[in-house]
Amino acid sequence: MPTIKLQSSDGEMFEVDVEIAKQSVTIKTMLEGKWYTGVDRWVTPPNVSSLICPQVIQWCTHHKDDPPPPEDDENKEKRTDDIPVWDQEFLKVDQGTLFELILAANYLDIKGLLDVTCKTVANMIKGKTPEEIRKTFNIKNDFTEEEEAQVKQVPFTLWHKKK
Amino acid sequence: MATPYTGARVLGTNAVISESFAKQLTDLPAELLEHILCFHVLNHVDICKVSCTCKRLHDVCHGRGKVWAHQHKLRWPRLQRFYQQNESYDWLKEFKTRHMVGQQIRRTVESISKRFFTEVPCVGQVLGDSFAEIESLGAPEHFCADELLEILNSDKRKCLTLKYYAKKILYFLRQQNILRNLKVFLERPPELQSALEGAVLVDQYCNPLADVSLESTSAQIEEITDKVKKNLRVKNATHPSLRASDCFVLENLEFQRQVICALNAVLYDQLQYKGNERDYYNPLNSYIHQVLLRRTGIPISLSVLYMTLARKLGVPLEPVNFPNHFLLRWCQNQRRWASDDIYAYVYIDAFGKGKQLAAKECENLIRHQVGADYYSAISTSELLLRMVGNLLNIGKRGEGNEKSYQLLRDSLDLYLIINPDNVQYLLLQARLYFHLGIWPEKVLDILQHIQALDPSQHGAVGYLVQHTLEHIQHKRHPVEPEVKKRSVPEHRDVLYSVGLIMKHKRSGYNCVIYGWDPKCTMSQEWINTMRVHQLSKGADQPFYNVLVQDGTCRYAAQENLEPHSAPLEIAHPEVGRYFTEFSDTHYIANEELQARYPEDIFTYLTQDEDTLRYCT
Repeated sequence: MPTIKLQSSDGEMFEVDVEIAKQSVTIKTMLEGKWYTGVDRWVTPPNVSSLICPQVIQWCTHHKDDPPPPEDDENKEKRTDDIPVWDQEFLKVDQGTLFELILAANYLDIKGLLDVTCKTVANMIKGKTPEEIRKTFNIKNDFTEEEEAQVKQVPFTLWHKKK
Repeated sequence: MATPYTGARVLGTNAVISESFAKQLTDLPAELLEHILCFHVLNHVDICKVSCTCKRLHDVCHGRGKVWAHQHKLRWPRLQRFYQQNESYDWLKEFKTRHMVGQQIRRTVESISKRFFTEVPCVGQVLGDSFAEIESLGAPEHFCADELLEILNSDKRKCLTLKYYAKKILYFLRQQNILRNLKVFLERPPELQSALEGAVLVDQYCNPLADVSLESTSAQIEEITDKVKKNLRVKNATHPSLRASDCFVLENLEFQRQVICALNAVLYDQLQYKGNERDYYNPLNSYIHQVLLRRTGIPISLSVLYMTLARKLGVPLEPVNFPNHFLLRWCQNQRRWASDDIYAYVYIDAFGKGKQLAAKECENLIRHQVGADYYSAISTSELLLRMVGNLLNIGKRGEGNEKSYQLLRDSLDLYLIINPDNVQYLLLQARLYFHLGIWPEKVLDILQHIQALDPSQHGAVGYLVQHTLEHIQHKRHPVEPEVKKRSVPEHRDVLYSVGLIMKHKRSGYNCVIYGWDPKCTMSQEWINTMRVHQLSKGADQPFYNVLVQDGTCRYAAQENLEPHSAPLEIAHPEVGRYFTEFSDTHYIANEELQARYPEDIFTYLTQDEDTLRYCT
């Protein structure tokens, strides 16, 4: 089976099946580019470190037989809520890794991975108070007291009233 | 867990060990943060909380508006069509406004139930005050309508009382809108008042919750003209109407004849349109979208259709207000100017398959003679007046149920918009409202108007004024609701509760109980007419107010009712007025009904009346 080498941003090389690599639209475009004729096939996806690259490859390998995700964004809502169990396990990583996966999926244009990672983060936000969100993501509250009062003001009292 | 890379690493020549690009959520670029925040697991509450965490996230939420735009779309997809694609909006503001309007509407709908439990619900009466509050929000009308639609589309068996009033409010709001459109329409110069548009407005006003529009009706008309053109092409491929666009008139009478011939062939032979002789007095015959749907109607509605089609194909026909049987007239003079000679026209009976008649032949249709005046053409306003007059008569002939009263009210409204100073109909409107016991303040306004127009009516007016004032006075001292407790001795024979689904033993109808009396409270006359004394226990037994499957309300004796073995929902329009929910076996009373029957829990009965088992 034809393979391709991916070079991470820090210079490491990883070998991957071409078919698996093509899940990344970025790589797919590169491979199909007219200028690409090299026998010794390797691409450098931008900004993907050597720590993340194998994980991306692992995800793509597991999902190699998935049907391509639908084009339009509208149906995003209608797709099933649940993140598949394998993906849930796969994403039990520290936040730094999770965000790097998001960035990698974005740069490499792998829709499925981007969706599942972002959805994971969204699930981490859901239902939390601002303080809890800050705690979860280690966010520093940089509002002054006045600013905070202003920001919290009108929306909250209204939103919380049940119909 | 993602498996860490095992195996030999080969460091390339340009190896640079770079640091992670993102340690934190806030390090992600704005587009990705927006992407995360637009997942539908997050609702507007979550977005508000996120925007409170820090400045960066606050900016992402509010900056480009994408996040709030998404929330708006998610929550109220129906409203998207009111926003232009390439314009930018303050989406947070739109969201807030819509949200507040929604809450206000719900508060209004909830409060109405209390007010109208004992009175007849009249939305116009109450909306004056409540709507001032909603209007002060500066929200567009479609926000209100959208919230009401949301209420109406929610779970079928719950919130029945909310839905009942929401429907009435939506009905009223839409009618107000249509009335405004009609006023604008009537102020246009006559050349710009198409009969079709007027007919659509009448249709809309009487069916405000149906999906009737000028666009869809015109589209259907277009389909028919296409068929006529196809037919025409076969006979005369060079006919000018095939090339021309709208708003032209065929000069040559022979070309006009060809169009009429093709039109008749398509409308009556191919599409099988015909006059509704069997069910002439059905109001559906007057509504243009129903005419198109059912391919039948009465002379005036079919004439509107025929005339519109002919005009689009270049044949100008004029409406004729012929008594008892509306007609169209077709000028046979080659010269275009209007002729007073009734014999210069051919008269077309759209009800009778487009049959063409000479002047005096029309009188055979109605079997008596008429003078030349009745052959003249009328304006669109006069046409609409006649159409509305038809509906009024149908309303008058009706069974005196809610539907026919509604039709009477609606058609009177329409009539008085077109012809505001008609004393006869003003008086009819005042009497109708008085009879129904609604909106006394408006009755007084109408009566004042009549006085100003025609002081000779002071007799009828005076009587109504006096009684209306009494009604208003009476309303200022609301009576405490009468509470009926099962536990008191006088009520011990009352077996059944409100909310129970019952079957009438003799008539077999299904119904739900919404009230009871320990003894029959009707007049002796009623008792005699209904032959109550023929029952084994006569009038001296509990009687129940019931809503029946067929839309009527009745008063039934206890011995004639039995609990239904397979309880089902009762499709009566007034159910929502008394009950909030259907729970598989019975209806749950709303607050107002519960206040009057506090001890009525759902009672389960065995066949043996002596041993009663109570279950909640």
